[in-house]
Amino acid sequence: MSSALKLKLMMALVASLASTAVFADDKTLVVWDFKSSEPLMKPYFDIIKSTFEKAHPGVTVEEIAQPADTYYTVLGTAINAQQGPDVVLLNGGNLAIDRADALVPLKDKFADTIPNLVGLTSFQRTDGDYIAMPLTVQGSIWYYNKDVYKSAGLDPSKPPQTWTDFEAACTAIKAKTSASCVTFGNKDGTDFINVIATIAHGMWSADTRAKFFKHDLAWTSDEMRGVFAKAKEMIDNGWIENGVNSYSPYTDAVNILAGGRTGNLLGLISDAPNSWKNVEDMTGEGNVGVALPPAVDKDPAANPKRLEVDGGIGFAITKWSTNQDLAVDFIKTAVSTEAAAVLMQSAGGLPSNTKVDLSGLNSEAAKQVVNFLGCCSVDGRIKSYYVTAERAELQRVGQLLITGQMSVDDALQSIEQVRQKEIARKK
Amino acid sequence: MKRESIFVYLFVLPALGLFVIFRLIPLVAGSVFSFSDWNGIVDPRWIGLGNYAELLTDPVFQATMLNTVKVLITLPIWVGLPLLLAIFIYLEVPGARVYRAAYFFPIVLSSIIIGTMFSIILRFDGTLNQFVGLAHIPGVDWLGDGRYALLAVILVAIWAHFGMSVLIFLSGLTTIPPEIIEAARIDGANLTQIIWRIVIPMLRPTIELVVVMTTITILTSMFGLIYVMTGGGPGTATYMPEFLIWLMQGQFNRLGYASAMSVTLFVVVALVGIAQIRLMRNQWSP
Repeated sequence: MSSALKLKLMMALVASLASTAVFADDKTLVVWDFKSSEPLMKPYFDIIKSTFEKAHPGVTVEEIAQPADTYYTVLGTAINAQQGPDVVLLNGGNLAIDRADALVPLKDKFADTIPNLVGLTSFQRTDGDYIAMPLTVQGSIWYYNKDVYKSAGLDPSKPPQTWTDFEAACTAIKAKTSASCVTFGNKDGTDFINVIATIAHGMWSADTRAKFFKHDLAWTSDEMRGVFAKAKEMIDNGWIENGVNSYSPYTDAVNILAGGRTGNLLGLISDAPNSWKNVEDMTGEGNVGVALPPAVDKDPAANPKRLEVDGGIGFAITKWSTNQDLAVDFIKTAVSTEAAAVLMQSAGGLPSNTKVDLSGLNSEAAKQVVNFLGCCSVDGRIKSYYVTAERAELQRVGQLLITGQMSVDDALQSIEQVRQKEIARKK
Repeated sequence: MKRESIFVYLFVLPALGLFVIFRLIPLVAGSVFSFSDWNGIVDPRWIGLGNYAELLTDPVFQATMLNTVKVLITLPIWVGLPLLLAIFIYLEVPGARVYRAAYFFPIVLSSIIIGTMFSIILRFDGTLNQFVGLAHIPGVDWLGDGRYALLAVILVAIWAHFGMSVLIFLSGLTTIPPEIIEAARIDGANLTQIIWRIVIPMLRPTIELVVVMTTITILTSMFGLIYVMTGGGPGTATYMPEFLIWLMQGQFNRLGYASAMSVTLFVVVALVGIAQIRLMRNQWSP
C-alpha cells in the first residue's frame, strides 16, 4: 500500500470518526402537542422551535401535532410504554394533574421563571410542586352579538350584570327577535359544565368555592342544588338554542353567534376558536360584546371578580426523557416574553407571562377581555377542579337535562354517587 | 421430523409469530391487568375480582350493555336488507349492475368520513331537518336527543356496512344452480315463492355467516361512527363497549378497569365465535 493511499485512508478514518462524533452530539427533542396544527397557533410553535434550535446547535426540535380529540388517549399509550415525547402540552386542571406521576416536578428547575408566570395553580400537585409551566391563562366569559341585543331593544353597552338582568335580556331577545338567548356547543357535554361553573362562581361564597376545590362539597348539597336550579331555569324558560347537544363548541356555536341566531355564547378568553379573536373575526369587529358572568342572587358589587382564571395550556417534561435539561430550556423559551408576544398576536393567546405588554391588543373585544383580567379576575377555576369521573358524569347528565330526559334531583344523585365511588376507590 | 413437515412449520411460523405477539400476549397481559387497579404510570395495585365486581354495579357499563342488546335486536334488518337487495340483483332486476356498485360504495369510505357526512345531515340544523322543514314538519335533534340518537347511529351503521353483506350474499347466490330457479318458474312459482322456498333455504350457510360476522361488527366496529356522530351521548344513549373501553383507558387512565371490560367483551365475542363454529358444523355435517 502506498503511503499516499495510507494517508488518504487515515484521513477518511479521521473524517468518519469526526462525523460520528458530530452525530453523537446531535439530539432530537420530541415535543407532543394538540395545537401546532391550528393555523393561528403555527407561528408560535414555529418561533419557539427556531429560537431554541438557534440557541442549541446540534439539537433538533421535533414537534408532533397529535389530534386534539384523541390526544390524552395517545398520551396515555406513551405513558404506559414509558417512551415517546420529551415534552408534552397539557390542558390545565385534572387532565394534567391526573398524569402527575409521569411528569417531572418543575418548581426548582424554573425557580427563576415562576415569579413571572400566572396560572400555575392549575398545574400544581398536592405537595405544591408544579408539573407544567403555563403558556396561557384561560377562563370562561360571555360573548354577545350586539346586533341581536339592538334588535331586542337592549343596550349593547350594558350587558347583564346579575341573573335578573340576564333573565330580562333573554325575555326580550325571545320576545322581539327570532334568535335564541344562549347557545352552547354541547356535543361532548363540555359547555354545560362550563355554564355550571360560571353560575356557581356567580352564586357561591368564597367558603363554598374553597370547599368545592377541596372536593368536600357534595353534589346533593343545597349550594349545588341552587346552581342546578338556575341551569334548569335556563332550560325550562327556553333560553337555550334548540339542538345544542349536536353542536360543537368550537365551530358550530361560534357560527350560530356570528350568524345572529343567538344572543349570547359562553366562550373562552384565550387561544381557542371560541375565544375573542376568532369570535370577533367571524362576527365582525365592533359587533361582539364581552361580559362577565352575572352575579347570581347577589349584588354584583359584592362579587366583582367574576372572571375565574387559571393556566390554560402548559408544557411538561416526561419522567422517562433523557433530555430533561434541554426540555427545561425549551420550556423556558416557550414561556419567554418574546415567544408569548407571538402567541398573543397570532392566536389571541393571553400569555401567562406577566412581562408581556398587552397594550398591543387593539381589537375592542380583546381590550375588554384584558380589562376584565385586570379588574375582575380571580385565580382558580371551578371547572378545573371537577374530578375526571365527576366531570364525565356531569357532561352526560347535562345533555339529558337539556333534553328533559332527567330531573335535577336524579342528575345530582348520579354525580354524587360517582363522587362517593371515586372517594372509596382512592382509599 | 420429515423435511416436508419442517417446511410446513416454517410457512406457518410468520403468521404464528404475529398472532402470538399482537394477539395472544396482549390478551394474556390484558387479562392479568384486569385484576388490578392500574393507571398505567405507577405499579399496578392488585385487587382480585374488584374490577369485575364494579362492572356489575356500574350504571354506565350496564347502559352500554343495554345499548348493545338494543343494537343486536336490529340484527334482522342488518341481515335481511342486504339479503333482499342481493336477491334482487341476482334475479337481475333492471339496473342490477348499477345497484351492485352503488351498494358497495359505502364500504370504501372510512367510518370517520361517513360519520362526518351524516353529522352534517342529521344535526338539528342539518340537511334532513331543513328538508322536512319545507313541509312545516318540526325538526328532531337526531343526534342530540336520547330518544333518537341510537336509532340514528344504527341506521347509519347499517348503511355503512350493508354493502359488504350484499357482496357475500351475491357470492353465496352464485352457488345456487340457476336450473332450479328456472324449473320453479316453469312450474309456476312466483317471486315470493322462489325467494322463500328456494333461495333462502339454499343460502342458509351464507346467512349464518353474515349473521355472525354482523354481530361481531356490531360489538367491535361501531367506534368510529359513535366517536364522530355523538361522542357516546346524549348521556349514555350511544355508548357501546369499545367506546367505553377507550374512554376508560385514555380519559380516565383506568387501565385495569378497561382491561376487565375488554376481557368481558372478548368473552362475549368468543361466545359468538363458538356459536358460529357450531352453526357451521351442524350445517356441514352429513
